[in-house]
Amino acid sequence: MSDESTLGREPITIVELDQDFCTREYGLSPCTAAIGVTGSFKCYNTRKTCQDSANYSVDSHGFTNSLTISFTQPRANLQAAPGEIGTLFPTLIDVSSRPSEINIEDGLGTRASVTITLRDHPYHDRYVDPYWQTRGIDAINLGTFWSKWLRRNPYYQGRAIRIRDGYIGQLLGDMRTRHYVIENIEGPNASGEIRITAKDPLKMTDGDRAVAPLPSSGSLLADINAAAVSATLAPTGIGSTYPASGTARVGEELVTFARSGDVLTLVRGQGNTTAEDQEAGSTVQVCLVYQDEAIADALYDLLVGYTDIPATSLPKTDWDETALTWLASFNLTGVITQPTSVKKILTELLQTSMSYMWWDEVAQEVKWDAIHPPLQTPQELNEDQHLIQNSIAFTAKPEDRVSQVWVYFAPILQTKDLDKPSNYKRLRVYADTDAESVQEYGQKSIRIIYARFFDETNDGEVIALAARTLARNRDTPRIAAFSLDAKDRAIMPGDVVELITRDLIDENGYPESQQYQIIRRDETEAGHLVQYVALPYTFLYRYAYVMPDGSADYDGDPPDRAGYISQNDGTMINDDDAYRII
Amino acid sequence: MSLVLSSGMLLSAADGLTYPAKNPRIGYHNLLTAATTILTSTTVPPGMEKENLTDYFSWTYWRSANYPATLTIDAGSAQDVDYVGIAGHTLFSDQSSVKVEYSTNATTWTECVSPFYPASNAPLMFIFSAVTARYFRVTLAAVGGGTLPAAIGVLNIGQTLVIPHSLYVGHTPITMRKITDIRPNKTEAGQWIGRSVIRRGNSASVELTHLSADWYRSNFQEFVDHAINYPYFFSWRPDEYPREVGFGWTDEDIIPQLTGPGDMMSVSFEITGIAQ
Repeated sequence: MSDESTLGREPITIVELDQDFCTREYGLSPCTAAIGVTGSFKCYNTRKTCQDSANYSVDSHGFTNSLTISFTQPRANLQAAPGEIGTLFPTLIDVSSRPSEINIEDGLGTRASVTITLRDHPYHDRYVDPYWQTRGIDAINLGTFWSKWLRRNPYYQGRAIRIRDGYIGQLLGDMRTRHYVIENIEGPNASGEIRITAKDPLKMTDGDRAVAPLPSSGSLLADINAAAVSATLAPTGIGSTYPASGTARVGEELVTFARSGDVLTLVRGQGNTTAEDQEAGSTVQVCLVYQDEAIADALYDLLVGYTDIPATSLPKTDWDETALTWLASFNLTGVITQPTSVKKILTELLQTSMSYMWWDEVAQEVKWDAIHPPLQTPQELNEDQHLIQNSIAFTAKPEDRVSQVWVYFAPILQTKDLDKPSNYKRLRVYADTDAESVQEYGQKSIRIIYARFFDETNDGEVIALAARTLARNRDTPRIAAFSLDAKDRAIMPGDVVELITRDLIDENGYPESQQYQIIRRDETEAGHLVQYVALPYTFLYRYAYVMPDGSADYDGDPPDRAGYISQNDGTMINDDDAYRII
Repeated sequence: MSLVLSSGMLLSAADGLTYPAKNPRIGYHNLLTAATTILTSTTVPPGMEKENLTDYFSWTYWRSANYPATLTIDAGSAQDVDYVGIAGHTLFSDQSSVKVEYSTNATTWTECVSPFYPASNAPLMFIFSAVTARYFRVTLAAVGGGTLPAAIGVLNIGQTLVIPHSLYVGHTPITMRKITDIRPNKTEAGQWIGRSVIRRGNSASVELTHLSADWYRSNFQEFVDHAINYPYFFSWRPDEYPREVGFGWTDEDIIPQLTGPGDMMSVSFEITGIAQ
């Protein structure tokens, strides 16, 4: 058996495309299709060629399709492990990736995408046509594989595609598998090439395919004045698409309502808005309301309720643990009053909670984590055993340094101007004046955060948000880029590593290991070489858990991550810096 | 009647002449692709149909669902056959032996390839004294712990084209001319930490000289026409090195040249394919 650690390993990449494929057999009940009646030839078990759409039957697309078509590079030894051989089209030319990148500051980062280039070729259809034996045509001399496939399968967008990076002799299940959804297929071009573009599923949060709340279709049947406490929805019967009660937006006004049929009983002028006359025909838009909502619940509901990302890709249990450990008090309150890009809402939620989200293309899960100190001893990467020659580079990012954090919170109106200071009741400013002094950086670097989901009760969370932002960004970060052999490719985005290189030294020139968090991973040569980009994983001050009652007194050498209460003057008994609550 | 070729042996060829067994042979003639040929297989799983043996794709397979795994070829009429070519197979890794028999009546069978278990999944070319028969039968049997019959991508049964002269100086056997990407990795401190290898196939240059122009026109031109569209088997010295066989194709036109006096021709071509 071959794997990453095998000397003389032979990398192989296998691309698997899931094609919708009807489970019925042509003309066999319940399929009522018949040659000469519903068509002049049998279907290809695809929706486009179906002649009895009422009985067309496939699993829901996205992650559970029926027919998997596999491609790999042409090579001398195609055979997979014993017993695993199947139809493996040797037409793969190239797989190029733009990996996802974690963005600690913006929360959602950039989406991963891959471009898969394939060679078109004549094909006898045996793998993709269940009726090739009875069709009576010379399929290999009619069209090409892809020209025929695209004609029969125009509905490929959003279908699953996997890229398996493994080694000759390795079982498919043991290969490292990345998961994407198809965005586009171009070609065949003049060179006979096909180009498949695929994205990670978080692409489904983009505004052109996912909004929250969903647009409401009802409007006022008649004018209402500012004092009216009831209204009727039009057209007749549209009320059934509204909840029994909730919050809605009419014009610039927020109302709460209770519904019976098409009739709404209203409480006017909610959320600091003013009850006004409203015209007939004005849209009554149901709002998405968060009221003291746990951050993990809000994120989960947003992705499950308003995107096509399957719930199986959202590890809610892990999210709850993250929230409980690091964001226990980060409950959110706010109203989204009109259909808004889920991506935009997600970004605001993540920025507000100093957390970040990314697609783990191997685990096939949306990962979510908060900024926090590392929980376990990170893996060491040194120049002797790990770091590839001439691959290490450090780049300073002075624009990412932060000396002040301004947090605007408790918005006045949820209906407009959420990115303007004038629409917020409160502002908290936190500054590291030492960093701004002429002895240090000598200038300010201000980060402004509009925390629309924090109300007047969230002062504590605002402090934590500002403190964590300063702790993480107080000094100019030096981004590290380096490459590793495939033997170390298990290191994934989000992981923290300990770098030891000749470029990381203390003031005296001695080597000094530093912790970095992987934000980007690109397997540039599949199964052979992996490029990484990492951010310093530094936390100013000393962070720890408060020691339980009955623990021994602080002695200057406490157990790992053991925090003690300081003296009244803010220092420990031996003048060490005090711990801080974040 | 499986034949072990030995140095110095003479074998008759399709052109009616007799050549030393060491002369190169090209296996392109194939009964399986003839319109009148009927194939019969033991039960196969979906996607592993017998027709996959006739498309020359080494990546589509015939595989019997269970042992016994048998494929019977009815050529429609008696045919001269002196080789069996097998490529894109898993005989070694799936622990199957292969046997080929022929018959004139589909009842009484005689071996032309005795049960053979190869030492790798490399292409195979069995060459033997020509037999004349209408029926042929390929049988796979389990060897050792093998439980699943091997898959076979390409199966050729037919008559070889024998080159009138041997290959000597300047020729590299196809099994020895590998096309391989070797990618080493070393660390910043200079330690060697890994190497990846990608085997992209094999190749061989074949240069044939002093061919009679009549022989070329009568025998070689048909191969040239075949090579425009399809791959073929090539054995550069069957008697001494019967396992140095390639299954490959030619990407450019094969064009002969008249050489010297006496109406002689020479021709060269490049084979790219699989041989390991």
